[in-house]
Amino acid sequence: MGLLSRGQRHGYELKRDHDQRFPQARPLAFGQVYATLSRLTRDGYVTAVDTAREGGPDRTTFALTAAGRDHLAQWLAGVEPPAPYVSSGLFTKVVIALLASGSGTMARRYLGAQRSAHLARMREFTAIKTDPDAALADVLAADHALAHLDADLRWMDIAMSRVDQLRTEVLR
Amino acid sequence: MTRPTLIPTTQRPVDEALRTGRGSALISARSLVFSFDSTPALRGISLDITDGEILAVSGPSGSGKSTLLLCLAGILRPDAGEIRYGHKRIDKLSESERAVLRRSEFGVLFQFGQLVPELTAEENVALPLLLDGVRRRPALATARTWLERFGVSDLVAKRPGAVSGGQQQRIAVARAMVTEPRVLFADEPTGALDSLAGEAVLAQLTRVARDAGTTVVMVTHDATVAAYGDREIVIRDGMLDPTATDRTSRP
Amino acid sequence: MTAVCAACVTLAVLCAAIVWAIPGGGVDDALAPYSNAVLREAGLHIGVVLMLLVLCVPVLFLVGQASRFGAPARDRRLAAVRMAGATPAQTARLVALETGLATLGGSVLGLAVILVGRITLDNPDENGIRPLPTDVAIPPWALFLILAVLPALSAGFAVLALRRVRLTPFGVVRRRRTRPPRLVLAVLVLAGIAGLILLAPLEQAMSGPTWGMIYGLVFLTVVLIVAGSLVFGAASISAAIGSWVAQRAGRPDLLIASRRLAEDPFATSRALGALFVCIFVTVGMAGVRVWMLASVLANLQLFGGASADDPAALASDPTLSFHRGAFDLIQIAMTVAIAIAAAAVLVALVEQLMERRRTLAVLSAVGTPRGVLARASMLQIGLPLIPGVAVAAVAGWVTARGLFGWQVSVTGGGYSTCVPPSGLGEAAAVEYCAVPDNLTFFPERTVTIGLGVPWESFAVIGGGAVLGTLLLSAVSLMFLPTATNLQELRAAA
Repeated sequence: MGLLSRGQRHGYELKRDHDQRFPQARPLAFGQVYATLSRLTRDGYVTAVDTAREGGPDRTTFALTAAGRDHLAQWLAGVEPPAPYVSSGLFTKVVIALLASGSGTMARRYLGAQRSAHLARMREFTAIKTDPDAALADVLAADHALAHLDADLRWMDIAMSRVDQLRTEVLR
Repeated sequence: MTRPTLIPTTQRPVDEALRTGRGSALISARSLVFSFDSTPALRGISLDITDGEILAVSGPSGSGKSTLLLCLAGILRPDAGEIRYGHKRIDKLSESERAVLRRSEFGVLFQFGQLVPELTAEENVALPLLLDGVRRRPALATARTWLERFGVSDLVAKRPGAVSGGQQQRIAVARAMVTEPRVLFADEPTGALDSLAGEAVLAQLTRVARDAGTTVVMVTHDATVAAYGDREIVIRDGMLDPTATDRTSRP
Repeated sequence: MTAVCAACVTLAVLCAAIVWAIPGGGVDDALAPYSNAVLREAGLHIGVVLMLLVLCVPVLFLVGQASRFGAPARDRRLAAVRMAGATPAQTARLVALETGLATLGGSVLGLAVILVGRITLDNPDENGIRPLPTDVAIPPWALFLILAVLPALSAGFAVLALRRVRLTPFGVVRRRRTRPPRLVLAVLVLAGIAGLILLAPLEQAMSGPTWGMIYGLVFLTVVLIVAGSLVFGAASISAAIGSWVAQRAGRPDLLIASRRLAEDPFATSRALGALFVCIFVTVGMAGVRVWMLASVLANLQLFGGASADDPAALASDPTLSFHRGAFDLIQIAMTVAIAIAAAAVLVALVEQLMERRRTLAVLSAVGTPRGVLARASMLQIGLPLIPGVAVAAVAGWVTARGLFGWQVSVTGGGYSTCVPPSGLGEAAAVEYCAVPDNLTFFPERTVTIGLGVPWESFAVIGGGAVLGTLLLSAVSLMFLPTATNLQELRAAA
């Protein structure tokens, strides 16, 4: 849906976009794309805009409905649970957030909220670390978690400051 | 509100204006503006700092966070806006009045180079007490107790140049806390230290501050340092970033 | 700055050279037509020359001080040159050239001033008597001295100073003087003074030409030792005082000042040493002056028949006023020297303030009032200043006494004079004087004037020096706001 928020797309373009933007994820299969699209249409988030049959594969263009946009916004308003490992969920969400919002405010809001969530988690780990009765294993685990969460935050910071740059990149 | 006193020091008159009660704003700033010559550093920052909390001030370098800290600590006078400590406005005070305030109510901690190189560690820590008129022997005795709390009591007679960076910072923290300040302002306190040394300083600092009920305002660009605090605010380009307002409190 | 001081040195040297070159001829006015009595008498020329040369000393200190002022910037520049690939020899040559040219420029400036002065100040009255020796040509050896030798010397010293600074391509690594100042030097001062006190009565006891020479040599050596230890011992005195006070100080300004003094006495000790030597010489001169005046007075009393308490007679006596005039001139010169030394102290203080910018800013941030910082700065000078001046003054006085004795004794009389009434012819006068009743008999007597300590002089010289130095040091406080500028506190905005 985030990809669609950029504008109408054909199914084929959707797959291509997805694979480009999320190279670490598995490439989508066409069947998967259409199955998801039909489900979204049924839910009312996506509608078929134009069906042009020009001798060849189905060239239906899909677009987000207003309801779809709201749903997307709601999703972006929530944060990913901060995890001390590389989370594709986080990556996806950040990229989508940067893609989806027009002026960047939605992205900034999301990133700010995500930072708060991360920091809260980091505070928990810091409390574990500074506990005078902590076992070495706990401290090591806490250090590890903190390092990864910190890495996420640093990346989000860079992403935040590249909002404008990234948007022009994405628009191409 | 009574603050728990750790070590009896000179009797300080309790300012009625400062009886704000736990959980209310001890320091508040409104529309702070400050420029260095023609370069704007703060462009209208407003915030409230709760009594007893440990606040982390983050932001990219050049964003103005150190300037904000210096203004809140009464070291710099803002070009516009107001700062209240308790119910008193401090931005309009004269330099000598602010010096008294800094000496008695605030503690300041910098990234480096803050100890007088000629004085020994205990003399450095005792300096704020001496400035308040405490006599040499009791001042040095109190200083030694504080050095012990931060684990550097063996460095009592050493010069700053003869100890490591981490130890220097711990001596500096002792110096900042020796007058039992209400607020401790720290500017990148672990910036010049490696992770383990920095951790030691931060752990001791936050522990002592929490025990004493001291409010801490800590500027840092490192999130792992910010995680030692209760709350974080982000400064960007001289302004408070509203999207990064952190409302969570300590678990 | 080097150039300015070089100009001053040149001026002094040239003046000295000119005076030296004044054709001496004794008291004959025709040979030396100058209105100023000092310039007339050939014997005093040496004194004037010496005086002018002594004036050079504090100026030289000022030069040294000023060159250290710009040292960090210059060192960085030289380090950059090294990084660009210059060898140590090349950098040395660069420094020598720089300093030499600056000095040369100063010398030329001084020369120009002299030449202009010669033309403009040349002002003979109807008898051809001039106030200043503007008709004497500058001796060629003096020209050589200032145009060639002086720049070469200063260049040499600059290169020597380089030795202490290692300019690696990585930047400047200054070898700090970690040796604590030697206490021996300070002790030498006291030993010297004691020696001088002891020597004086010896001089009175013995006599004879060879003994006189030996005595003179020994005396000179002791004087040089005292002077030298005043200069070089200033550091150890400062450090000792600093240490002692620091362990007892309860006031923050005293603590900061004494610790700073103990840590780095060399910063101000050079200038202070120069000041002490100037005081030493001044008080010594005052001592000599007292002796001279007293001996003239004794002679007057004995032969002139005047009593000691007749001020009018004293004031009108030409020899007395001459000597007074000469010494006044010397006193003026020494006051200038002291002023220059005090200026050197000021420069040293400002340099220190600039170096400690960060520490001062932090102290201010922690809540140290400006007043405390100001007092600390002044105390840093004041603590070694007062004892040093006192010691130097005592040393000077003892030297003068040692040289000329503790009292003046003139013996005369034992003869008769006869004053015939006017109007008598020569034969009648001789007859008149043959009559014993007409003779006035002057019994042999000795007039002794003890040379008391001129406390007023002491107070004026010592107190004046101390006050003047402190006042000048107070000027350095103007730099305090710049030094504590809170910009220093911005670690990373």
